[in-house]
This record gives sequence, C-alpha cells and structure tokens, in this order.
Amino acid sequence: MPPRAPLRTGARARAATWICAGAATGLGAGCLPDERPYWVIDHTDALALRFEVIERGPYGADPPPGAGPVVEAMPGDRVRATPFIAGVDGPVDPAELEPEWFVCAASGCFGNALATLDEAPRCGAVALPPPETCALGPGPAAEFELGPLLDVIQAANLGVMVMMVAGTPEGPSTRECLRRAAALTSTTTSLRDCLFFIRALDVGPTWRAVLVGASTGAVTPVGPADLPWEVSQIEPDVAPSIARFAAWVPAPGGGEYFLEAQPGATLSVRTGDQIALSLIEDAPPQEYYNFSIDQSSLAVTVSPIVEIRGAAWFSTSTAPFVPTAGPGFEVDWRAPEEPGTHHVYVILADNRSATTAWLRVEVAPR
Amino acid sequence: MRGWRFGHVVGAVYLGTCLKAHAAAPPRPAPQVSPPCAGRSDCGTLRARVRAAGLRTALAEVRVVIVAASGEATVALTDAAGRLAVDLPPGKVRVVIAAPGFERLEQTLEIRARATTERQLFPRPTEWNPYRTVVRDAQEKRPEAGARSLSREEIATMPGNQGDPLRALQNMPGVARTPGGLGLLVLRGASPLQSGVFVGEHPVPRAFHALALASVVPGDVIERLDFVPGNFDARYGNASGGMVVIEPRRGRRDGVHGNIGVDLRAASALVEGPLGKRGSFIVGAQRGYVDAGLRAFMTITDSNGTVLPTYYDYQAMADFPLKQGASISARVIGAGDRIRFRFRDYEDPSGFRDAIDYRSSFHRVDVTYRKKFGPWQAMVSPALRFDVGRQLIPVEEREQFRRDYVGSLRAELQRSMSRRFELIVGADLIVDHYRARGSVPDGISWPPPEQTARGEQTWLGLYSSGRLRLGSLLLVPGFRASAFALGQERAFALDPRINALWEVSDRWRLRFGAGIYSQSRMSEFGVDARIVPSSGQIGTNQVVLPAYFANFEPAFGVIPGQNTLRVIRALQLSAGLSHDLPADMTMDATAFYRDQDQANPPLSLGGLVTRLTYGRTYGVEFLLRKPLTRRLYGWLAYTYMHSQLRFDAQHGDPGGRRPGDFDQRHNLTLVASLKLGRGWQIGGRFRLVSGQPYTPVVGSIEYEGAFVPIRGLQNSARFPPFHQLDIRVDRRWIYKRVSFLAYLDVLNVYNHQNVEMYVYSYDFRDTVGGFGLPIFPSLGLRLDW
Repeated sequence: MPPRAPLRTGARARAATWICAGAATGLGAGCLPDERPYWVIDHTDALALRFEVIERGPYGADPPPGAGPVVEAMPGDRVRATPFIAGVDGPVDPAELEPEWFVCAASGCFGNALATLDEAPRCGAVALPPPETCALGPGPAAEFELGPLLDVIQAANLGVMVMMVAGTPEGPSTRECLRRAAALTSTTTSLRDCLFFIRALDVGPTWRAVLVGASTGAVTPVGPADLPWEVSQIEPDVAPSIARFAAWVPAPGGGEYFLEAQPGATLSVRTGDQIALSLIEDAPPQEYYNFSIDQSSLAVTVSPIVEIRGAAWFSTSTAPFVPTAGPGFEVDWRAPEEPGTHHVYVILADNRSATTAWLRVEVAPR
Repeated sequence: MRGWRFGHVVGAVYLGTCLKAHAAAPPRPAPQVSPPCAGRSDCGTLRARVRAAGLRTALAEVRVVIVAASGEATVALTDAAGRLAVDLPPGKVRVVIAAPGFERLEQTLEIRARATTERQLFPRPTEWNPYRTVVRDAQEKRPEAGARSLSREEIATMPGNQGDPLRALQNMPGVARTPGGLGLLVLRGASPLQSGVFVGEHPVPRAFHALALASVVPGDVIERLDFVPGNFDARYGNASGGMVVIEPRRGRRDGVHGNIGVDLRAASALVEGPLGKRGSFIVGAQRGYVDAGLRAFMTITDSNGTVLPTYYDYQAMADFPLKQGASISARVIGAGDRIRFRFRDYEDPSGFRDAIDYRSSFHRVDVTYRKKFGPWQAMVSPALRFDVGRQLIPVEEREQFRRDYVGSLRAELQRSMSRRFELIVGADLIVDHYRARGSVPDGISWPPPEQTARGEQTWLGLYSSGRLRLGSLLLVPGFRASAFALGQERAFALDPRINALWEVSDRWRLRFGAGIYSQSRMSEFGVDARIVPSSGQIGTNQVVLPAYFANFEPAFGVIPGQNTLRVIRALQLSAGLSHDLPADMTMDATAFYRDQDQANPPLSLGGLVTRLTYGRTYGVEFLLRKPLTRRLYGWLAYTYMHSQLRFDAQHGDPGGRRPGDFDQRHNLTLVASLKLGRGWQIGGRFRLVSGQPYTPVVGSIEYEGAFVPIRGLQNSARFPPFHQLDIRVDRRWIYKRVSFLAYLDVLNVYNHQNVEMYVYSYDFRDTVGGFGLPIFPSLGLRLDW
C-alpha cells in the first residue's frame, strides 16, 4: 500500500513542460496552468485500506509478540478491510458513506468489469486467486474469508484485490455511483466524486503458501523442497505503526517549544507559523524474503530484505510539506495565513502495507 | 459582369502573350517607316522591346504610339517577342503604351539622325499575375458533385493559407478543420489515411510536413490543384475517402526567372527557365527552421524542454515537347521531416537530451511520356520512390525503422470515339518492397527484443472511364478492378462508378455521383509508429487530444509481416446543384453519403472494449463564391456533417451509432480578399467550427497508489467550438526587372483561446485545457525576378 507521494515526480513535471512546449509549436498553445497539488485534501478521498486477520484459519500464522494484527492472510483466514477516508473537515466515518465492497477477479475491476459490478454474485469464501468478481456487500468495513488456494504463484503475486465503492458528501451516493458505473456502456456520466478504491491483500507468508499449495494440490511450479530452510523463520507481515507525532512550534514570545501529540490530537498554532513535524514509529521495520522464480529452470532464489518505510503528508491547506529528514519522517510545514481549523494526514508505508494518522490544527490569528 | 469580363480579357492577354513567348523567337523586325520619314534620308531607327515590368514577359501585339516633335503620331505593333522597329525623324519623340491590364507608360526618347536607338520599355501591370493562367471555369466541366479546381493564382492569393496549396483546401466545403494547425486532410469525415494525394500521376506518402504547417509540394511549382472530396472517377483507386491531384506546372521559357522567399517559418528559392530549344525547367527547394528559433528560445529562457520540428522539400522538373505531338516530363521531388522532443538534462555534457527523435522522408523520381497517335492519346509514366522512417525513444529503448522502395507505373490510352463519346482505359501498379525493424517494449523482456520483417505489398488497378455527352447531359461511367497483395495474401475488388452533369439551363446545373471505392488496409497487430496517439500517458499526465492526432502523418507500420490484409469497401453517393447568381457569384450545394464496411478506425483509446462494424458519413456542403476578379474575391463555405461509427452490442453494451473520430458537425469558413490598388491587398478568413469529439475520462480507480482512468463512451464528449479570424496584408513593389513582396500574416487576430487538448490531473478529477494558436503575426518577404 504505497503512499501517493511518488506520483509527484520529476518526470511528471517534465511531461507537463513537453506538453506545453509541444503545444507551443504544434498547437501554438499557451502554457498550461499549475494543477492542484497532490497533497491537498480539498475533497473526500480514501487514503488507505487497512487489512487485518481477525480470525486465523488452519494455515494462518501468529503475529510477532507485541505486534499488531497480521495484515497478510492464508487460506481459511477471516479478514477485515477498513478504509481510512480523509475529508476537508477531518476523517470521515466510512459508515456515513455506506460503501459497497467487492473482491475483484484476477484481471481486476477495470473497464467492462466496472460496468458489471451490479451483476456480481455474492462472495463466499474467496478462492486464491479469485476466479470472478464478487460482491462482499455494504458496510463501513468488509469482512470475508479466504477460500482454497488454487494457484500459488498467482495468489502470491496478485493477492486479493478488494475494492471499495463509495459516494461522497459532495457527490453522488454509493448507490448512484454504482448505477452510473453500470450505465457506462450506454451513457457517459461523471464519476468524478465517486470513490473507487482498490488495495490488494497479500497472501502469505509466501513460504507458507508454497507449503499449503503443495499439501492441497494447488497449481505450483515449486515445492517445499525447493525453498531454503531459512525462509521458514520469517514472521507474517504486520502493518507499521505510528506511536505519536512530535512537533517544534514557534512560541508566542519568541523561540520554539517542543511537543508530542497522539494521533487525532489538536495542535494549536498561529497563522503563518513554521512548524517542524515528525513521526515516531512504534516498531522497527520487519525483515522478510523476496522470492523469484526463473521461468525456464524454475529455480527459486530468495533474498532477504528489510522493509523500507516512507511517509507521505497531506493537508487541507495548500502549503507544501518540505522534507527535512528521512523519506518523509520529518517535514516543515507552514500554517495557513487564514485562521481556522485544518487537518494534517500522514500515511506511513513500507513495501507491503501502510498505516495512517492525523492531527487537527487550530490556527489562531497572530 | 463587366469586371468579370475585364478580368478575363486581362488574363487572356497574358495567356496570349505568354503562349507566343513560348514560340521560337522570330527574326528582328524590319524597321517600319513612319509617315514623317517618307522620302527622307536623315531619319534614325528606334528599336524597342516591350516587356511587362517585374515579370520581364514579352508583350506581343501591343500598340505603341510614337509622337514626333512635330506632333505627328506613328502607331506600331510589337511582334511575338515584344519587339518593334520604327524609322523616325531626328529629335525628341514621346513613346506611349496603353495596353489593357497595364498602367499607361509614357517615355521621351531622343532619336539621332541615321543612327539606331535601342530601348527596353517596361509597362507596369495593373495587377500582379505571374501565373499565366486564368481562373478555370472548372465547375462547369467537372461532373463530380462538390469537386473544385484551384488555379495557382487562387492558391497564392487566398487568405489564410499562406500561399500553401493544400492548406488552401482547408477552406473548402467538405474539408475538416484540423486541430492545432496540423496539416491533415480530412475529406467528408474520412480518415486522412483514406484519402489519396497525387502529385502528377503518382501518389505521395503524405501531403503535409509534420507540425510545420506546410505542404510537401509548394504552391510555386504547381499548375492546378484538383480536389474531389468524394465520388472521384475510376482513374484513381486504393482510397475510400476523397482525392487530391496536384498537377505540376512547366517552367517558363521567356527567360530565367525565380524567387527567393523568407519568413518566420522557412526560406525558399526557385529558379526556372528554358532548357534547350524547346524545353523548360524548374528547380526549387524549401527549408523550415522553426527548430533553430525554438532552440534559441530554449537557451534564452532556460526552458526545460521543447519540440523541435524541422523540414525540407525539393523539386526539380524538366519538360520537353517532342516532335509529332509527343512530350516528356521528368520530375524529382522529395521531402523530409525531423521532430525532436528535447529537454534539459544537467547530467548530459551538452545540457540537453532528446526524448524522442523522429525522422521521415521520401524521395521520388518519375517520368511521363505523352504522345498522340491519330485519334489516340497515350501516356505512360513510371516512378520510383524511396521512403524511410525512423523513430528513436532512448528512455524506453524503443527504436523503429522502416524503409520502402516503391515502384509505380501508370499507363493510359485516351480516344475520342465520336463527337459525343470519349474513352479512357488504363492501368496502375504499385509495388512496395519494405524492410522494417523494431525494438518495442513488450512489458516482458528487457531490453525489448528486436523484430524484423521484409516483404512486398502490391496494388494493381485496371480502369476504364468514358465521357458521354447527350445534349446537355454529360455522363461519366467508369469501372475499376483492383487486386491487392500482401505477402501471400490476396484480395480483389470491382468498383463501378458513375458521375453525371446535367446543364439544366445557362444558370442551373445538376450533378450526381455513385460508386464503390475499395482500399486495402492492414489490420495492425504489429506496433505502428505514431508520434502522438490521440490519447495516452505522458509521464503521469493523461493527455487527451482530438483523434486527428492519431492520424498525424507520418505514421508507418513497423512490423507489417504480422499484419493481415483487409479491404475496406465504401459506397459513395452525392448529388449537387449549382446556380449562377448575379454579380458573377456562384452557389453550389452538395449532399453526400458514404457507407463503409470493415471500417478500421484510427487508434484512439476507446473506453470500453467494443467491436466496430462499419461507419457512415452524410451531410451537405454549401459554397457561395465570388470568383477571382479584378478587385474582390471571396467565398462562404459551410459543411454540415455526421460521421458515425456503429458498434455491435456486446457485454451489456447495447451498441449503436456513435460519433466517429472525424465528426465535425458544423464548419463555416468565410474568405474574402480585396485589392486596394497601388500594390496593396488585404484578405481575411474567419472560421467557426464544431469542437472535435473525444473520449472523456469520467472518473478514476485508485489502485495501489496509482490512478486508473475510467473512460466514458468513445467520442461521447466534444472540445469547445473553434473560431478564429486571420488577416493578411500584402504590398507589392514592381520594378522593371524584379518585384518585391512584403506581407504580414496575422493568425487569430482577436486572440481567441481555442481549446485543442486536455490534460488531466494525476487523479483525473481536474482538467486543464491546452490552448491553440494565440495571436501570431508573421512577416514575410519575397523577391521575384
């Protein structure tokens, strides 16, 4: 569940320049205006989907001692998917949006599949990989059970794509969004303010999936004997966790003061204050193994990897976050010039999963 | 009517004088004895040559009045070479020339006793017309509804086309406006790839330079441009849309002439003159240098990137009249384009890097031999063409290359069978030997695997066309049999066609056309090299352009060996009505219909996967035209058109007809030009055109941090309507031996921001419009001699 920060890359800025320049010659066009910065939350937007195994099946793994819930699942596990939805006035309770949930077929929920969501059958235990798109039903969160493992490689590569469809307070309802999606084949209607949000639930740990596949008769080009013994020492993935925020805030009489804030706390600042924000993690990154299979010889190669974490910041004001240390762990941010209430959201992600947190910022006049 | 007649008289005088100038020079005339010199021995001789100022064209049979000091007047006529010789009494004489189409010239000369005085006299033409053609009354001759012929002068003087022949077409009814100034030819809603462009007897691979707003054949080397938006006759094949035929002209034989031109976009030069005893030649070239200016702009402004287009073209033509009614013409033409997308790269030693480097060129040599054998006229014309194209995208390790050797042959016999019936039979053959190589990312292997292909494509056509006149009715039935081959695949087509012209009265004419038009089309499973798809991803920005960009020439299939051969068959129907109005105006209205099977739509990212069956186009064209006369020239063209594609029902899609990529519903063009006198001329063009269809993005799916667009129905949205006013002011100075032209061309005079593309934000919630040409003044200079 990577953050969205990498979307803003040099390539993108360069592309805009090409377009502008190309237009200037071919089209004779003027330069394009700047578009909305990616970090600005000016509409209801889903930022993350948190998976957790809520009921361990026969092949599931225990979480590491003291860690949070496991976020990758095995056949027979029961899983809950909970969205984090950011709004202009703070986090939005998913129940208000009445989202509908789907499990996508291996080919995804794109194109024609989107137009046939309303015809999707009800999900039972979700096979790995899912043979067809099915409906999990409505609710603020989705709960489902993983079914039999059919193809180890596909399941490990694709996981289970879970899609949330939700309306927004400023746009159509969830029911209307689904109706418009279904009508896409015959009429063009805007889905701009509908949320179509897909995240993949990982199936694993991979070595366990290989073992289960071999024992249950799933399609698999590799067997347990092909795996080196050390991979069995790997613990299941757990999501990174944000313990608290730390901040340096200008003091009213001059200088700065330091404070720590729990996620969801309120920070009081004055207009135009330059604030240094940082994250304090709850647990260090995990180690895991990356599996690769040579297509011709089917030889398995494993390589140990430590999770690389990064943070992406969002806010309801247009002021940018300027990274000062680490991949987004510490940033400088300037409070808006207009008094009022703003919100700051952050996504902390590693290579496999992510977590979210937020702060309310009360901006008082200087 | 008087002005019209006067204009034609002027044209006829020119035509007459110039035709005579082509004949071999007669011997020096013997002096004519003026009345005062009768019986005198002290008279001197005046030998003068009368030529048009600026043009240096000899003026034949011009009356020259010579008034002696005594007041006695002598009238002399120039010979075919514009010369005269008169014996006159010594002393001062006044020479007066007052020829139609010329300013009065009066000059005083001193005649010496028993001596010869030689002078060159240059009367100034009242209007500049170096073209030696008159406005063809082609409308009455062409049986095809909606067809037009443009003379060289019309092309040169028509506002809004900058003297470019094919851009002049874009003012015609039935011709779509192309977005962004792209030089594409969209006739009656057909894809540019469905219409043919011929130069002489053979096709050229493209009509326009890429991104350069210029034709590959400049207006200076053409005699006439025939434009048939539909229902063209059986002489031409392998096109299911319309046809444009450019007839190159012959060089002048009345001396060496030429011109040099320069403006903000390009420089050009041309030289023409006699070749041997009876032949003539033209040599010309043009080079665009927009890239040089943009490079400088990039350096000065420290810009991050730009598109660098450049182009060239050249022409060398020779014509030789032979004995016994035969003639031979040899032509060498070629054109090339290069487009680079260059951006700043501080890691590169030069500071810049080319993201895309695209080159394409063609070079052609052809010979045409014509001869009369009694009632028969024969023509045979072989040609050889070399095409090469290359696209390099280093960042993707994408490289595509294609080279074609194209041999073509046209042979034709024509005979007047009777006073009423004329028959043409002929054959044309094109053999294209290609070699293609491509390394295209396939998403699996890295670096991309290289694929190569070589083979032959062949097109053979046998045709017959007749002209049968039955009183006021002219029938032109025709038949064309075509064979297409691609590797081992074969396809055949039989195309009957008929056109008819009924001159109901002196003022009313009716036209009708019906026919089948077949065109081979490769179903492109391979990758084709298009610079700009109509929609796609650049960086993380989703760009939506009108579908025209997907047909942006040049485009070439890179792996033709993987393609399969299909034949598009189109039924074309048209009916037209012409009426001569007072004040020399003409009005034409044409209704057209084209129904096409096996439509292979241009590439565009359609939303949902649907299967296309066929397309159809129908509409009406209207043209109100004030022909080229002495002062005023103009027309009003309007086209109302539906271009539709039909989709089969599938996957819950009910199917049905939807706007095609070239559905330009309304297109209004108003063109006017006024000669103000003293060398000044002003012209303008106003266009009001429906927006192009495009496939909108209606939402997005966020999938693992990336946004996947959700597209609406294909072509279910339109860009805003386009409107623009262009004005051109010319001033010509005519001197004795040269003339000098300065012009100011102002495009988009009131600076309307026409939206020509959309760029979506990263999450597809917002769009920003890419605007078309802002107000764009261009100053040009040209020297003719």
